[in-house]
Amino acid sequence: MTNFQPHQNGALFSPEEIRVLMAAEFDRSVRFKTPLAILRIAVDRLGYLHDLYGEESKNEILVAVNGLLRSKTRASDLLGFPFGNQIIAAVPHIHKAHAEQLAGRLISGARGLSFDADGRTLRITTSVGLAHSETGFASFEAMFDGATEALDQALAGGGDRSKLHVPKAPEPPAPTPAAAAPTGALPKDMPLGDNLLADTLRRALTGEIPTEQARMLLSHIMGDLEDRYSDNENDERTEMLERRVSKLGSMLENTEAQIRQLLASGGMDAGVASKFKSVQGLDSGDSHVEQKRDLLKAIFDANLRMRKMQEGGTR
Amino acid sequence: MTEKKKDHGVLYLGIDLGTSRTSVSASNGERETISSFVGYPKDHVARKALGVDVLYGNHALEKRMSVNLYRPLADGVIKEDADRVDGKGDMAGNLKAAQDLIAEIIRLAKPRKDELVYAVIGAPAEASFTNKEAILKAARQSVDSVMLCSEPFAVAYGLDMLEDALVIDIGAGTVDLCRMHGTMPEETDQITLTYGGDYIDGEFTKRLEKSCKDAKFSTRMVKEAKERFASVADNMEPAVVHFPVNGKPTAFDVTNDLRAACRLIVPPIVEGLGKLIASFDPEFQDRLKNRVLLAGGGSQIKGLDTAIEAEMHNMLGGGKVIRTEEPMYGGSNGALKIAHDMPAEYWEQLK
Repeated sequence: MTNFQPHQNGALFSPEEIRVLMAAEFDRSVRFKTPLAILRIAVDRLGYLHDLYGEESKNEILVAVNGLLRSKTRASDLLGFPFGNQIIAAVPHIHKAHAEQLAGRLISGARGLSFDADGRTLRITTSVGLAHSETGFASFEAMFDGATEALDQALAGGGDRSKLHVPKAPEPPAPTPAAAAPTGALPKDMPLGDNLLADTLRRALTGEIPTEQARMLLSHIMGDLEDRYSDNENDERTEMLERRVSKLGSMLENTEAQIRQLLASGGMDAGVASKFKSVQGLDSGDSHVEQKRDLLKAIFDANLRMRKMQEGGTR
Repeated sequence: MTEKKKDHGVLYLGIDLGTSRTSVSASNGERETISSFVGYPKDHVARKALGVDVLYGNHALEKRMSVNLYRPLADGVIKEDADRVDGKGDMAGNLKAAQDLIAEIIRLAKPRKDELVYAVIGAPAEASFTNKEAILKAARQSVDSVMLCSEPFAVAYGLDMLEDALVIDIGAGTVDLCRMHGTMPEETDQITLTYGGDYIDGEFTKRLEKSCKDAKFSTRMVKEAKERFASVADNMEPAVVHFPVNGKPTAFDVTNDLRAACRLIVPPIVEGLGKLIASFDPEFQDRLKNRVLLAGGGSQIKGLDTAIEAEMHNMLGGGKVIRTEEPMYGGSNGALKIAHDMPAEYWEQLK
């Protein structure tokens, strides 16, 4: 086995290291028939958070998730960055149910994390893809791919959840030539308006294909359609939530800019100075000085009367 | 006001509190005008979306779907028994809106904390005691001393036309006619007519409803068209507006409708002038007729001075009408001049 340098400060293994170590762990699990779980952990919409708050915030999040993972696993478990920003953990000697509990603890722990970004509190969620040896994998690579597939399903489901890899059901028996056309999963790019469903029904009713085979085909088609609709709904919801987050972020930025502006100006506008430094009064050189004096006195008297009425509460 | 020592100067403010527009002229060179609309967010959601507790002027009008909109000085005075813009009666709301509007126009004049602020507010001639009390109460929150005076008097004072002059102040809510004869105008020297800008809008709308069939238009659209093209001249610029018909903007020539609506205010104004002239000293009646001052936002109607002169010629045997140079700030400039000329001891006593 390759000798790796000791890790400092709880750092994770590199992608190369973790693959070699985990392959060895897998071999050991097969040899001694001990259970093994592989978890792939991703912070939901990390790329988006990176774009919004920058590299520093992203690294802070990953370090915190790493710390969370360390606190929830044993010292003997293997943790590392396989690639990108995803964290992988190989947890030996753990049964499937306990592995699922561990995934759940990671997800709920991540919900409790909070970060300060640009003066605001940021919260995250995570998704976990889980593959367990009880499922029966032929190789480490297959198990790794299983965890990857499960993670993809968790992310596609909207994130903030874990998914256990479930192997696909065995392929249906080879169809008769007449039924060959509509078998298998629906092509992803096939428009849903196509007549695949109707065609299968027609052929079942006219006896072109046996009833049992038609039932299996229809079940397959319906399953694919449900998956596709489910994915679409989740995509739309995610997109809508991202738009809301973006909009709220924009409003928050505007408010913060206004607050900064107010703080910078000491709370309010300093104002514009008057050109008069003292009370002026009527210019004695005015051509209508006497007349104006009388008028101004009349205005003052009227206002004084009003003031007294107000103070006296009379009308 | 704050407790900060005010020893760095004196800021005078002249404020024209109008139905349609509220203007301020200040001795620091600031001059501002805003539409006399005040809006309060309808609910918590609107408050969050708008980001403010109160909106003013055109901003309030633009967001009228999200706010309770007030035009507190409809008909020239703070409405005491009706109405919010949407027709829902709300006296307390109108008073508060008027107070907020005054505070906002004072804020727009950018007073400094270390200066004394003395303000004169041109109030509608027929404002009630409750109205005046509300205006003064609102203003005192932002200034050191404040006085009220009649709007048409402020216009005349600003132009030094204190003797033997007639002031026509055309606002949105009312037309104030005031006779100046060297002393403070009394009740008998003033006539208030309800043929202001809002009246023209109403008559213009009635005509448009007949001539622009199937077109959809709001009061605001009618007002905008009026403010852009208003004229009483025979050879006025063609007034072409676009109103939606079944959702499609369609051009309408409203020249004749607009001219006819604008001309409606001329006879009652001249009739009112006639009453003020007829009850004046006969020796000075001719002088009075030849010193008619046209002021207020409505004085911007093209050809109105000529039309009033022509009507005066028919009904009163002649007359000369002078248009103020700054219709928007005529009242506030006059109020500023009064504030400037007011002796210090008067301000002190009213603090």
